[in-house]
Amino acid sequence: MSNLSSSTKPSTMREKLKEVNWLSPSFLIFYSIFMGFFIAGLAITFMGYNPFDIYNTMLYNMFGKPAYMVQIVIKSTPIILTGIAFIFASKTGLFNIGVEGQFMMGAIWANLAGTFITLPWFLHIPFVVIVGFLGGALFASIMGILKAFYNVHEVISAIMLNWVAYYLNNYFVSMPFLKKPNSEFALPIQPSASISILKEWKISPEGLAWRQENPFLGDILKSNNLNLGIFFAIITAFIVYFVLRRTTLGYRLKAVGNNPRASRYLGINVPYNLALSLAISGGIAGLAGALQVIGVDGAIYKLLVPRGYGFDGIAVAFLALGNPIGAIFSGLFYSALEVGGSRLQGTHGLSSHVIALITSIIIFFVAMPYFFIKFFGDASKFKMKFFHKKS
Amino acid sequence: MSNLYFIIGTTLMYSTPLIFAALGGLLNEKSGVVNIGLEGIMVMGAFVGAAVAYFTHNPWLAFLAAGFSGMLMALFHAIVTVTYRGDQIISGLALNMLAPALAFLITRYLFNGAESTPALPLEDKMPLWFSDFFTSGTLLASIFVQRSVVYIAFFSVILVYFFIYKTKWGLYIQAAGESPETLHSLGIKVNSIRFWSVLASGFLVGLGGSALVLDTVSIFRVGVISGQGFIALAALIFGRWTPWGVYFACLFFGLASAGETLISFMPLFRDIIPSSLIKTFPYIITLIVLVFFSKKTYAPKAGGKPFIASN
Repeated sequence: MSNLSSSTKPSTMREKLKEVNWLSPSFLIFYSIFMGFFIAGLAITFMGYNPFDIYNTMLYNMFGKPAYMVQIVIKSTPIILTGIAFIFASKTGLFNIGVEGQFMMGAIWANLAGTFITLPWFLHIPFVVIVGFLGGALFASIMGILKAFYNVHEVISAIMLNWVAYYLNNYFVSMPFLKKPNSEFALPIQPSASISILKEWKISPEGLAWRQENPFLGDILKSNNLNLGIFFAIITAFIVYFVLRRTTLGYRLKAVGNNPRASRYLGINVPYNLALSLAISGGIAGLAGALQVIGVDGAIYKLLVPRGYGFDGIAVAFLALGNPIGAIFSGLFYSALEVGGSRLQGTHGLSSHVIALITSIIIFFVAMPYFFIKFFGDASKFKMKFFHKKS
Repeated sequence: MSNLYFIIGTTLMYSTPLIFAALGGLLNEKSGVVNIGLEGIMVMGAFVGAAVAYFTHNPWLAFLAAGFSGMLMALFHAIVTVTYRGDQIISGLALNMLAPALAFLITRYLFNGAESTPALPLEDKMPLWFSDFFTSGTLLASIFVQRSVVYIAFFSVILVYFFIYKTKWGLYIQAAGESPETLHSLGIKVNSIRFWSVLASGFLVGLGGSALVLDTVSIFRVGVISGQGFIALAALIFGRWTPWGVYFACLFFGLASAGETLISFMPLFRDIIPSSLIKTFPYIITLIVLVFFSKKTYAPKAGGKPFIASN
């Protein structure tokens, strides 16, 4: 029956609807997002607020002004990259929760390279980016080596290393050679390593005059952390997509993830490839840290709690269904939620923890596609592949 | 000598929340469900413990309430992973986001926008036991004069040990984790065993979170629970998934934390090693321990996978 209907072209709307696979992964993501807002909405009502009012304010905080939208893009850069980092390792069947720590190590290394080395900008920026990548990659290699040679579960070692990176960050900020006197910051990077856009010009008299004449672009320029990071993120997404789809390296890593035993019989060095996958994944997370330093923060600073880009990145990876290019969009979505929720405290006295509530419910539903299968009652069409589970 | 007493006392103090959490983790992993959301459940337990103790001035009630709040958090994990066969790691991750978010939202709601609960006075914390029996400043006093949670943790180990190895239900739990098909063929519902194990585990982990607040810090705020839930998972590996193994693993991690605290108090070391570097100590110790204890895995064989009955 189904074969017959798929061979003939559907004509009516009714038939077209029948053709749709309502349980395809992308639909499942939309259902999950809906459930996230729905259930969090109930919780918001319970706390005595009007959820429509809250969501409406969030929408305005996202798209009400060009400057808000710019914030969404800027804040999406690190989580898109940590998301891609997580996706890369997941293709080899590895659960890299360590992106958080690798991000911080990348930031530390980039800070050192950006502050103490003098180069012209066209060399300095690539240099700092590469150093950040290496910082993350080397730190992830600890995890990779422990996994490959000592069978230490990567989730546990990653969590320990995240805390080590967190305290190392604070250690470096407190070191006399790097500390900016009388502050909780490290010495800022040199201007030649910065990827900020028009940072000097826009506060100069000409710049201010120009911004007055062009309100739309002027509003965009108002964000003092405007930078080129998003382009690095998009380029990385396409490179990773290409590497995973079209190169022998990508094929090999996926083979190890799909079936380590078969890969070993094929002559693939499994431990080496596990470690390599984690190193590249950590490198991408380190790149995110480097871009955060040279684009947004200008220096690392003393952290009171872990930054959370790692865990946000994992959420982004799940919403992207393991597709690196999808991570660009889910990163923007996630960032939009954060930006939309960040000012709720001022306007409604409602903490931005509401955003964590929404996203965690979304992730719960992403974790259980079976819920929707039961709901729709047709398991035959169901297909969802994110992890390459080891047999 | 006083340093030694200090080490013993703080080791027991720091290891107590870990023991509860790791025993909880043991229960659900034995039944075949991995829960990396222990950290989140502990946060909720810590909050409920602090809030209930503040309002009722009854630490025992607070302790129990925290256990039930942990159970409620674990209910989410049970529904997602057992009832709806969801991915256990992703669900645990979501739990680690959900529980703190809820805890801080309710904190703001109850305490007029504050980010932390008010500090508990000494009489609202768990009582100190046997302080009249031993003269203070002696070795025996440093071991036995402890807050009641330290004793409860110890008895929980015995209880969990008997429950898992000596009762029918304990054997069902072990079978659900090792060979669910066998259990299913005996006509026992694997998924309800797992469901209740996850809930019971949540209760213990919730106790662990509140033990930290009602014993050590007396306030709930950001960063009170900083990785204890994850160290509890490491303690499971180190303790080879046995109650006593887990107990001693937790004592070991408690010792590492106590060592860190002691070093940061000693002027000699404090000047040489910066405090943020000393703080990495427990985590690095954990990593080193894992290197030696991960070669062979003792984890339940069917752990991490949802059980789907074949007929």
